[in-house]
Amino acid sequence: MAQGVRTMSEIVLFKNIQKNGPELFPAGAAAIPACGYDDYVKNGGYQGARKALKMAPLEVQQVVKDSGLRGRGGAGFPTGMKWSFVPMDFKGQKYLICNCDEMEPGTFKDRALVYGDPHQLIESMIIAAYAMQMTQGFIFIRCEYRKGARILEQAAAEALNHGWLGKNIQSSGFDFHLDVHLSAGRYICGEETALLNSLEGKRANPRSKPPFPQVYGFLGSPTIVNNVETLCNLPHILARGAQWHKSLGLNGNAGTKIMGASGRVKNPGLWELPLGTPMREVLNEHAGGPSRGKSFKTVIPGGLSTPMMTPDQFDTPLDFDSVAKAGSRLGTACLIAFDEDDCMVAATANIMKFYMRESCGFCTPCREGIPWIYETVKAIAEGKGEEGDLAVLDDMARHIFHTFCAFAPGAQGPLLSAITTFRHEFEFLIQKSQCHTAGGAS
Amino acid sequence: MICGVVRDMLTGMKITAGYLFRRPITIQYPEQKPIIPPRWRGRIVLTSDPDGEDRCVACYLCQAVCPVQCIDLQAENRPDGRRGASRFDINFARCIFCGFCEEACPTYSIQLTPDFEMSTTARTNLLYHKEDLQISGTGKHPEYSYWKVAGVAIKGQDKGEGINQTAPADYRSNLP
Amino acid sequence: MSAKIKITVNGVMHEAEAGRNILQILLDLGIMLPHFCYHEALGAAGACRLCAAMISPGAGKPARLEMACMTRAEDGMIVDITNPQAVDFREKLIEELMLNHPHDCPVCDEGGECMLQDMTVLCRHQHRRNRFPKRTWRNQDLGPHIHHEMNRCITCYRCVRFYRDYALGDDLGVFGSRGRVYFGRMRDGALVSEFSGNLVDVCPTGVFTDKHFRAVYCRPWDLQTAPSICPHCSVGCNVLPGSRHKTLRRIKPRRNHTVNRFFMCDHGRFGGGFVNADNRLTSARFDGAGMSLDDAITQTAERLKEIVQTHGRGAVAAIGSPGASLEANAALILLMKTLEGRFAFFSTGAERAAHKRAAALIANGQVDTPSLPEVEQADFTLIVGGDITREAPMMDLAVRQTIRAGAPLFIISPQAGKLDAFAKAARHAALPEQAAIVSNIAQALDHALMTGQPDPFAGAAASALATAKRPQILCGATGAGGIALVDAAHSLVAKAVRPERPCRLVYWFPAMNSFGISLARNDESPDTIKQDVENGRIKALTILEHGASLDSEWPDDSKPMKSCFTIAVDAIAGKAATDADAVLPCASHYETFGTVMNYEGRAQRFEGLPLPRPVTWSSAEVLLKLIEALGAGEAINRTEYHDLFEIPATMSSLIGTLAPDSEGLLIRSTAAVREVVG
Repeated sequence: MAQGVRTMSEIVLFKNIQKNGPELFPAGAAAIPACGYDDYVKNGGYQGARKALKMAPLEVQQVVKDSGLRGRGGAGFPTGMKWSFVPMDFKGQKYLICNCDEMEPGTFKDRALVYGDPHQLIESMIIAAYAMQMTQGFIFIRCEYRKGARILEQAAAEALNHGWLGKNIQSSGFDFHLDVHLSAGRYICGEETALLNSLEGKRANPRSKPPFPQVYGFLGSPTIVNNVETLCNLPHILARGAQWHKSLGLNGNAGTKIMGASGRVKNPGLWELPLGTPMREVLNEHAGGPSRGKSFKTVIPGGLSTPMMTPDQFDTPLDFDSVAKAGSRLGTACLIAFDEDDCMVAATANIMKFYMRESCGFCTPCREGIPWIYETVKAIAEGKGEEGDLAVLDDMARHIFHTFCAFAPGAQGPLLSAITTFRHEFEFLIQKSQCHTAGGAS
Repeated sequence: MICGVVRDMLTGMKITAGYLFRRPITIQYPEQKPIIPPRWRGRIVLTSDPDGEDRCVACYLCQAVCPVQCIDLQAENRPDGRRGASRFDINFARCIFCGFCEEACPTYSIQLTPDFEMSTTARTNLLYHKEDLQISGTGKHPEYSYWKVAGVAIKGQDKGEGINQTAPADYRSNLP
Repeated sequence: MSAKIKITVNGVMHEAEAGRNILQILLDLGIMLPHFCYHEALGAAGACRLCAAMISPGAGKPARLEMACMTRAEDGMIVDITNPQAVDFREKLIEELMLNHPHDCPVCDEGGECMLQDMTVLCRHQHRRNRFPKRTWRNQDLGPHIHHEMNRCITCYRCVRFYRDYALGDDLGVFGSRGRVYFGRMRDGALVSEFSGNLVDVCPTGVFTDKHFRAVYCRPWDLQTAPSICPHCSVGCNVLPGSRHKTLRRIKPRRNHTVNRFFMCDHGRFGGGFVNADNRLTSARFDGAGMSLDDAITQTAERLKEIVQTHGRGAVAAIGSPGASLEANAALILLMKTLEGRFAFFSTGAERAAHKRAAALIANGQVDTPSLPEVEQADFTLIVGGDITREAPMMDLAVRQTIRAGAPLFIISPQAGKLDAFAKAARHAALPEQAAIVSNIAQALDHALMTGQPDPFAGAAASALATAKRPQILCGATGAGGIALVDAAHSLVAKAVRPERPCRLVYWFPAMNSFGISLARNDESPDTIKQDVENGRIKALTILEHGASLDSEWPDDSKPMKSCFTIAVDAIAGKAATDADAVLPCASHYETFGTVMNYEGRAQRFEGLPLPRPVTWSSAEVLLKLIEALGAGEAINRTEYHDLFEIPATMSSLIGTLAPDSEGLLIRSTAAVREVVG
């Protein structure tokens, strides 16, 4: 591990769980025992929440707004602004929901946070709940993270014992109840309105917006849904101030971001890096470069639902605006790398299979269009492509955009970039019935 | 001017005279049978599937398209899951042999044949019932079988066993 | 009247009502933008994505491809549905919907009225590019009424939105996800909702089709229809029966935005079997001998004259039917006037008294009776006097709309009913005891704020009633509750009405025309007529349409009417017609024209199907022929409705001019006559 490349000014989120060097967090996160309550407090835990409880709720909101924190779930919406949409004068029950339904392929950052440092998340939720005076919180956790749910439940019990949950926490007069809900296991549950429906016991179909959940969410009450990583920044922002958080990032970005890499890299894993770290640095310095000695062909920057980026774009700083300028999206900043030997047609078929399986089936372009795309790409990849197939893919790739939620546009990202950037591979396969690369599917 | 008239007359007579030495095209019907092209639009028949069942599925399209309303039928659901016509009447006294019914037929059941010898002395004899219209063969399009592509379960062919269909989907499973 | 906004559609400026979505506005303007999942009653879902149009929020602002049904119309919006991008999007969308749609249109019962066919043609999708196999589904057995063919589904969610969300049923659902969304029941079995037949109408394709129609299928374009009224209850739903050749094939709801707007109940939809029944009366009979109807009428007239001469006045009587039209009952009364006889209507004396009291209250304008759409608007409902789900199903559906809006529902019924599950409180008591409970509520209303009510049910109902803004009470005036219940409901309403807040009251009746015949002048109690028949005082009895009268108790086999000459004017060979001395067959309800009055006193005209019927005349015509044969033909022309019924003279003539596709005419006796002729 090359120590000289470290650009990180400070480790924030991984403070309690770093084991193998300053910023590397290995992919085998589950192997590391979770940080208990005593260790957490010893390392300065619950200081942010203690500070927040002494402030007025609106002051807490202001600190978060000033910190420049943007949602880490993928969309990058400013967290402070999202919070400000919650009507503070609402009389009834308001809800805070932590979205831990991490089903984005190639993304495993929330798992590290939950498995390694559950109290950090609980403290974060206390701060967020206090800022918006929400007395009930849910952690909506992916059903494959059963162990994570157990860890969280254990940590919540500890927090309850130490007076951090339940009625009148830390004698502040503020109540906060926290429940862990294990998802039924659909990718679409990660969409915030589908998550709300799922939590209510309904079909996990997304809802139409407006009304937005901030106003009409869980059971019709104002609800905030935040990603695990977004929330986990809060204790540190509260403890050390908005300006400190702002100074963490590069090129005017605020804070750190957990970045990951998987696929054809030597050292797949997670690193906490300043927002704005160039992609090349993540790939070559942290992930150790290509695994098979070939050069990279393409990278999907943020989970699966983002357009592919080619090597000439590798100098793009990984922050929300720069990646968007480069024609993709930062998403979860968990890179999936492909090298020269990977057949992009087969890879696209694989990607489309995932989207075909995970569609909720509510609206037509997604439900009917993606299976057709998958069948077509699969046929091409198997050497059974026909003349009109690319025309179908062109049509459908542009068609699946106007859907009810962002799921099908998420499928459109990798598809559209694959059939434009790697069109020659599709054409070659259709004409010669075999892939131009020696390697198989990624 | 006179010359012109005479010239025209002579031209005409020449053409007439030319026919004196050709073979006559008149045929001695009914002793001699004419050769009728296979796509002649004559007597209407109802054909059968390759497996011998009725091809007609009683969709009423022939009745709807018929410009003289000479077709009348009634649909029935058969125990084997097929639909067919329990009654199928064509009034040939009205029929103008336009062939629209054949064009409208989605199952190639109704077909027009090269037979025009339907004259009769009583008008009522021109009302053909189903049994008068049915033939045992497939007529044109010998391979086509509607029920193979319809996607409907019938006896001997369950859902998904037709052409270009997948086996019935199981909504309780999310396996590929 | 709500505010108006200006909206530009395809370059033309239109004025439209504010607060609606763009698709609604386009459809109201008569501009056909293809759509599936949007339904006028069910609203927009955004599932089909077909109603795409280029929508710009205002001049100079960029237009985006948006779903018209998901976009609320704002002032100054510019909508372009002919934009090539939108047209192309819709064409591709239909292509997607057709990927798995089976090739079974020739055997599909929806063919000819299929929305998918229409939209496919409208969006100009013609060429199938997909070469992969089609998905198939197994069907379910959904009981005797609905046929299920899941292959045809385009996943618009209309069925579950109707069945679960609108009609509050719970045994039809949506299963699975992605390309495997399945609409059906947990397992095979009959649908339990009273409104399951509407699935046939709301489904834009042929997933749910009418099993009865399927058995005698013909294409909808071949059906002959007539605007009619459902004969099965006092709601008076507008229906469109369809017939072909010699039989009634199916019944569909007909839109009347003051009665049933989109839907109808299964009883009405699948209850047309009597038209095609084997026991239809086809030939006239007199003293056991078959003969032509004309001869039978002549001989009957002769016999009636004899009886009047022999036995004098009062020896002749007639019993009319709440299941027959106003015209038929009027002709029967006129016949009795001609013969100076007596008449009554089927049912019992106590029930008739209750009907008459309720009808009089409505006709005199003493209660404010809501139409069905108005019932849906209430924010408090008390149901008393019967099982509304069985006795007036469409009113039950209207009440379900109030439940959806969160309005409290209180029920007092003889036994557990389906609406109990949605009620805030339900009390089960025998009908004669219900008047007392209603009075309790009225008493509690006086002390609404008092604590420690002796009757918690009455207290809860009264406090909810006191705070409601648009309360309503639905009271069954069907019989056993008697006149006491009718009065109790009326006095409760009288107590609940405040100047700023009306309290509406519905009396529902047992039969289609119960209201109409309750306005009859000079009728006797059916009990006395029946007694006099049994004890031989009445020598000749004319029975009108006993088959449709719902009175199966009488004539009683144990008390033969030997000494009485009975004349049955009926369409169906029921008990009365079988035993009658003279049988005069008439056409059945769906084959005749006439006027009926529903629960709110709404006179509605219906037309008959042009079937080649076994008999040509309606019961009214048969009776008028009989009057002519008695030599009293001129009385027919002299008589107006208001001579026989408690109807103002002004309305009497209007009834004759009612059109079948109008909203009908609310019969009110006061000067404050509301004219609603469409």
